[in-house]
Amino acid sequence: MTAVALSSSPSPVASILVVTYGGWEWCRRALEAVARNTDVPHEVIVVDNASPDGTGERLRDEVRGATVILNPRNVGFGPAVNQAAAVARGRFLALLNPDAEVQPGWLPLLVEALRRRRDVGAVVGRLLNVDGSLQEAGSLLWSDGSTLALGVGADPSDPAYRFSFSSDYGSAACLLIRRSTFLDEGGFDAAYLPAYCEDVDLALRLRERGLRVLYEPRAAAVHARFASSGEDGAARLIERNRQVLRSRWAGALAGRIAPPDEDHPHRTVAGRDADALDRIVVAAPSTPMATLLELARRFPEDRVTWLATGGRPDAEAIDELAEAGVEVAVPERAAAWLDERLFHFSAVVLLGAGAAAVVVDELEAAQPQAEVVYAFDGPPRDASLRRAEVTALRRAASVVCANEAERRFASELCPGEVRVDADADLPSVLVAELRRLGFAGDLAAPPAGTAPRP
Amino acid sequence: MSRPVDAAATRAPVRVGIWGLFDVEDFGAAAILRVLRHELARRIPGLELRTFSPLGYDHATRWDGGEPSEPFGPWSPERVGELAEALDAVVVAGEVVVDDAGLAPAYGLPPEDLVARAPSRFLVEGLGPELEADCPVAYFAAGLPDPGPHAPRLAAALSPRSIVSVGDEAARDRLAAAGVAAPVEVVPHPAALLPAAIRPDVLDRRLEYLRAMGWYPRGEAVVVVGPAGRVDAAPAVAEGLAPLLADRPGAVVVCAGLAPGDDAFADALARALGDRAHRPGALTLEDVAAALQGSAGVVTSSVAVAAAAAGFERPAILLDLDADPRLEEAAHAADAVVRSARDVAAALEKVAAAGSAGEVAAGLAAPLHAELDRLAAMAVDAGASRGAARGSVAPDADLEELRRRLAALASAHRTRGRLLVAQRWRFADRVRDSEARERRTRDELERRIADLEGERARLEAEVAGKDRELATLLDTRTFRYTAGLRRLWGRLRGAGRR
Repeated sequence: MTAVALSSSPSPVASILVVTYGGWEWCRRALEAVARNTDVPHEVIVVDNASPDGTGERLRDEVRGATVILNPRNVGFGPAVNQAAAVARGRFLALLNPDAEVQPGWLPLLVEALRRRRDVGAVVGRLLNVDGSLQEAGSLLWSDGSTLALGVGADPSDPAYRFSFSSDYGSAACLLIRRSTFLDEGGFDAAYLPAYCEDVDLALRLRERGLRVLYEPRAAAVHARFASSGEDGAARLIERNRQVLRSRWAGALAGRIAPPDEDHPHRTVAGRDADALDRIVVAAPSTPMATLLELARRFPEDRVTWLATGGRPDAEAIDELAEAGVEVAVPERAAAWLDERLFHFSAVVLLGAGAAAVVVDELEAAQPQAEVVYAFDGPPRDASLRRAEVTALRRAASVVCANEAERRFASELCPGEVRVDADADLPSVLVAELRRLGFAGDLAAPPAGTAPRP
Repeated sequence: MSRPVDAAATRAPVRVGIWGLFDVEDFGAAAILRVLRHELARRIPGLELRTFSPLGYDHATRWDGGEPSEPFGPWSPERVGELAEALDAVVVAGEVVVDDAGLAPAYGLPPEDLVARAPSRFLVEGLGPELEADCPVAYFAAGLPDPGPHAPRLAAALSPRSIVSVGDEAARDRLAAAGVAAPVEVVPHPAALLPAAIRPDVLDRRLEYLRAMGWYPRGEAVVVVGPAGRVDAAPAVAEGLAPLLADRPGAVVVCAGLAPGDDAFADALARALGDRAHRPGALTLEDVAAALQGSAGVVTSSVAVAAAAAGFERPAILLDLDADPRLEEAAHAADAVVRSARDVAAALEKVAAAGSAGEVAAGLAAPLHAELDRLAAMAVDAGASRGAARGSVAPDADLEELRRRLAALASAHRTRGRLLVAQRWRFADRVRDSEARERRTRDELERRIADLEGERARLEAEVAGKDRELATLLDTRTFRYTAGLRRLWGRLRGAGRR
């Protein structure tokens, strides 16, 4: 059998930590993926927890370039990770499950995300199922200690899972954390032996220090999940450790949202956006790139969403917006989409009558709390659009016009502020209007470092 | 004990460099750096700290805690100038080398490579007297070997400095002999302040981890960090511990190796002790601290470990098998040093029984804090004058007040935002609860209506059946033929009632 050849840098930037308990074939594939797809100076440390199927011996005999530690007994996942971290030399620790195959470019993206943002304590990548569907696009934690992986079974190209946001915790299947942070926190807690929920516990400890876990969708790994331990065994362990989590974190959990159910589906998005103090949705038929990027820049701690009322945008636009942390939504029925997000948004920006026609009737029922900002995009082409525009103007707290004629028309209908922006610097004007309406954005961001998207 | 220095004297952050051998596998160096980072940050608000070592991140070690130093780079006047420009003050801490070639084994490099880099020129000469007039360099708990032919370097470099502290009297004597004119303080090993630099919950977590690994007992533990390179002494040390283990049936000796040379001794000791020993694997700084804090006592040949144990108020003795004067000096009391392995148990019991661990810890901490206060003041003063030179102005009171208010407003905005977010999802919950109740009520009503309609249909069918039965009865010949008699009977009954 050909040895798995890993590179071991004398000055690693990242230490890749893998803990095995059986599953040699999966582990082999995972290590081969690391060798193939990791282009940051790194070292690999594998701790085998006395695998019953000879995985330890295979690691010893068939893997080159890694530090292999063979435990005489199964010490559990958390302690084994701690054990690996104690010999690590990289500035970052990349925790990787032995059944997770990293995809090209994974590590530089995770490292970049962590380096750029000082109040991010850890970064988690996107996990894919073996069949290519989405397994986990970030994870949420509820008030009862249960968790929810976002995007289960979804199409990984779905823009809903392509943007970066603050995840409640990051699965240790593919997680990057600064070694100093991990050690400062004392590593994984042995209370969660033999495995599961220690990553949730770590995330809660990071949060206590004001550090977030960031979901970085561009860094991906294909994860077989439970390939080593089996699904039934995992379920039992998860439930047992959930009890431990609940008892240790009762106070922190009490302030969280209750888990979603068929009567409360809105809780999923509410949970995902819990850290976003303001949620701004921009309804527009075509890509308002400059507006969205400017909003993302000026409201870095808030949720900026583009509700694409004109159909699915092109992939390049989605990529660029996702990288800026903008959510792109292309629902089949915008009214239902808004209803599912009952009372969620702080502001709704309508770019033109076409956008207004799609959403304005639903606003009163589903988003009565939202401040509406309407921007003219020229005279409506037909009566139904005119009707939607009138409804929007009557609802708006602020209207942006391009000329005096629009201003006169709007002034008769709009109870709020109407202004003319003949210079057409719409992004800046919209930012100014949102600020005037009380959305502070980056003016209220924490002063140190660059805040991540929520 | 320590006081925050008034850093409001300058608006610019105070930039301090810590220089030392922090890129080698050494618990003592790692402990010094951890303590310095913690203590200087406590004293100097807005501190910007950078650490430098001969190879720095090009020779990352597991002891650097994930925050490797920057490399000095090869010595040159230009490099020295760069560092002097980038820093306001420098603290050289821990072991100081005068012979660059002698560092080669620690880095696994050829001696000529280290000679070319000349790290000793940074650690000894610092920035040079001219640049140090603006960017002062201090020595803190420096360890100095016999300088030999390098004595004049030390004299020239250290004499003008205002703050020089070393780790033992022998080092001070060497400096005096070398002609260093500056006053030299002797301070304990800074590892004595390690307890304050690591959170208690972290120590608890690491101790539980050590136990989960089977490396630390649930009962009593005696931690031994033995003399590197003295594998031969392991059996004697095991024998020396035997009386203590006999008196404490549940106690276990934790044989720790903190540096490459220690591991052989730890392995040998663990073999000699058999099932009364635990032999941990690789330990982090936090693990060592947790092990010391959780112990019933510590036996060590490491000054740093002894100081840390004393800081945690654990009984500790120094095992000095090779007549090392530094160990003699580091002991807080004469009976805390043993020169023979057979005296280990008695000495440890005696130190434990003395009950003076708290006093010992305080006695070690006081001079360290005093020296750290001096360092912080030096750095702040240098930062203030260099900040002014860089063009930063003394803080404007009104501007500072505005900054404070802006920060308070931003914080209030975020708090209010979180409240609104929580209110919104709770309100959404209430609306959805109402909708769900309405749905369930409607479903229930529809079910009941359906049930009632079913009942009605059944009753109607029953009535229809009865009607059909009656009609059939009325149509019989008997009924028809007796109609007249029944009418007569009816009339007779009616008359009788009247």
